[in-house]
Amino acid sequence: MVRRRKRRYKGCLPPYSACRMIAVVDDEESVRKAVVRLLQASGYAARGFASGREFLQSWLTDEPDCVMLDLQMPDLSGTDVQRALRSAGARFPVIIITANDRPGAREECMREGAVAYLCKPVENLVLLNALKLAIDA
Amino acid sequence: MNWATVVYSMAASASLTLALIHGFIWWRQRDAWANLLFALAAMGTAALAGCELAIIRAASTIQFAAAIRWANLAAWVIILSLAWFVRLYFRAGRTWLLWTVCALRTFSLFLNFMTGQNLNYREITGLRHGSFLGEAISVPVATVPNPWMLVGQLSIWALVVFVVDASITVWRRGDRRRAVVVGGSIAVVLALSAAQTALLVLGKIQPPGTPSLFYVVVLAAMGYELASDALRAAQLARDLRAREEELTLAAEAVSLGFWSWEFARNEFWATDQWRAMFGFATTERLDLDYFLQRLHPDDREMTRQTLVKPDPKNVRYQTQYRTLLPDGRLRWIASQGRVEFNENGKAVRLRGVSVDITHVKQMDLEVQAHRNDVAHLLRVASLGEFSSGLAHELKQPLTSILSNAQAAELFLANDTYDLGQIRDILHDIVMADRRASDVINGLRLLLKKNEFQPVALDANQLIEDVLKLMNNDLMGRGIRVATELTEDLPSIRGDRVQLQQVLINLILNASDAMCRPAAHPYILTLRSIWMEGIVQISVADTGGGIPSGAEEKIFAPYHTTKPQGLGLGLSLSRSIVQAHGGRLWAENQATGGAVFHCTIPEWKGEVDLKQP
Repeated sequence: MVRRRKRRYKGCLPPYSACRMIAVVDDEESVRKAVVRLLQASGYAARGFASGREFLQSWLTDEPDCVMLDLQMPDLSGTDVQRALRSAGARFPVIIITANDRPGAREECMREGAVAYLCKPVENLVLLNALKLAIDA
Repeated sequence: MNWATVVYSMAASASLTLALIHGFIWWRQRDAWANLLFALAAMGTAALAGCELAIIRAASTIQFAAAIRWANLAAWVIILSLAWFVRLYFRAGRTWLLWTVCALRTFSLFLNFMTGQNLNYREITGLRHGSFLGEAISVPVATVPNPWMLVGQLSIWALVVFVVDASITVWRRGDRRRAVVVGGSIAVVLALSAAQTALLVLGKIQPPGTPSLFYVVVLAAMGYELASDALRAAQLARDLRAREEELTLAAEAVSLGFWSWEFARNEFWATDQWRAMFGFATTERLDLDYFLQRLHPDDREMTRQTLVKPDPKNVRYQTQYRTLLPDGRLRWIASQGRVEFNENGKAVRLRGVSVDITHVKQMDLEVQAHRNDVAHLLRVASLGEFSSGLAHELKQPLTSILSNAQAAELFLANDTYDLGQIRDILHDIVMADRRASDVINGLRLLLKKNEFQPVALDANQLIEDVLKLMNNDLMGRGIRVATELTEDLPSIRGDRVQLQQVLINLILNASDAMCRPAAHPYILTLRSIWMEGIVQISVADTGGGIPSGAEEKIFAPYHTTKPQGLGLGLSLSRSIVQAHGGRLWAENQATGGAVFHCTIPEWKGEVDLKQP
């Protein structure tokens, strides 16, 4: 575990965010790239996943410190991924970032165990604050 | 009283009168060849009667021989005229026989002047007095017949054969009266006069010869037939005038104008009604350019193309254009016509009818404006139905822009930033911005109040554009979108916004249908296929389908099954598709769910029919 964190430290900004690995799951490439960049600029190690399925196949071997999930995705939705993670016993926090303001969606996600529900477009301070809170918790 | 003189004089004057009448007819109507030939035959007969009178009153053998010589010239005129008359009037007879007659007779005329005293006599030694109709006449004595007379006889008998043959043809053609009256009389009279002349010259019968009197009979028969023809023509002309009156009445009743345009002379002929449509005076001379000047500037070139280059394969043409009257009024004219060709297959004229359709167009325009208003309102209303999807579509690029910009700020705050990375970020921001403006432009187009503007459209692109707007909404409803688009479809002729609206309506309906409990997974299928001049777009769902028998009812205005529905979506969609010249209908699929088919005609390139 320690070895892995050391490897990730490379290129990250010290001191707080160093060594924290964030997974960004969004089917929209431009959004995924932008959020990954923002996190990297803020000193996190971040990795993008184009679909829920891709993330679910990787997290067991490469567990992140937090995952940022888009809700509306083809194939598996954010909520589907949340359920899958919970049933697989994942312990890292889940932050939802969505462009959908469907009524009831926030409550549903929180029920499934999300620590934060953010609406796009999301300010970096809000995002980083939510991330800090999630990881600290 | 000198009856013989009276009879010949009367025959001559009657023939001359007929000659003058028919000569005059020919003079006024130069293609009336039958009348000219009749006039020539009549003139020949008058001359022959004169010569025969000179024969019976000859004082010496020299005078006697000369009169016969000149009588043969008159006979030459009569025989050739009759031969050609039969040929032209009957449109029958063997050509070689006709030329044989002409050649023989002309040769005998030559012989008439070159051998013996004349064609009939080699020698006339003296004259004695005889009597005819109580009048003293000169009779030749001790004559020697000219053997060359056989040539003349032969020519007449050849003509008899020619006439009989031609008459048989006419008889078989069914025109029996003409065959008997004209053909029969000419053949009989020719035979009689030839026989009489031969017997006379051989001394078998007593003079005088009376061929001119026989020919008067022929002239009477021919004149009778020609007069009957003239009467028939007059009756036809009367009937034609009556038809013309009826036609004019009908044309006036429906504002119809007739016209024709001669290509070679560039001359327009048109009825007064047609001229009134375009504001031309009844006496004005019209040509193509002058006519085109009266049209709306936007329609001139299209009309010129239609008129000047008639498609040789399609001799019919149909067009609509606007005309600007001198007083500034604008009228809509529909015109159709046909190219006429001469016997060599060359296009010589365009003949057609035009009708004023301004009131129809005005009605169309009102309906169109009304439909545009309703369409606009429904577009605005339907946007609300997928507004969350649209918001999603806008928030994605905005998120990308914001996060990229803030990432760049953070990178720049650090002195060791990578310039290449900043460049990448700026590039992504530009792309995201373009995507956002695409969404906004698409929306603005839908919200704008538009006139009907048909252009060449790619049906597949149309489907993809609409899906781009609605994809997220559909995804949010758990609907999977499948597309089965035929590649390389020809362009369709349509108004982009209106057809997008039809597709949005159909997709919204389909997704509503699938939000009700159904056994199938929610799949929306969009299909495009090409069929003989049209492109068919189909929208299929896996919902509950249309209640049996309601396939047509759902297109009725105000028919709805949704609690908040206006019931105008499908009815408007159908009227939009119909305004495009296409069809919209619905049916249930065998596998469950409903499918809506919409056909739109192909874009033909040229603007052949202007829509209001």
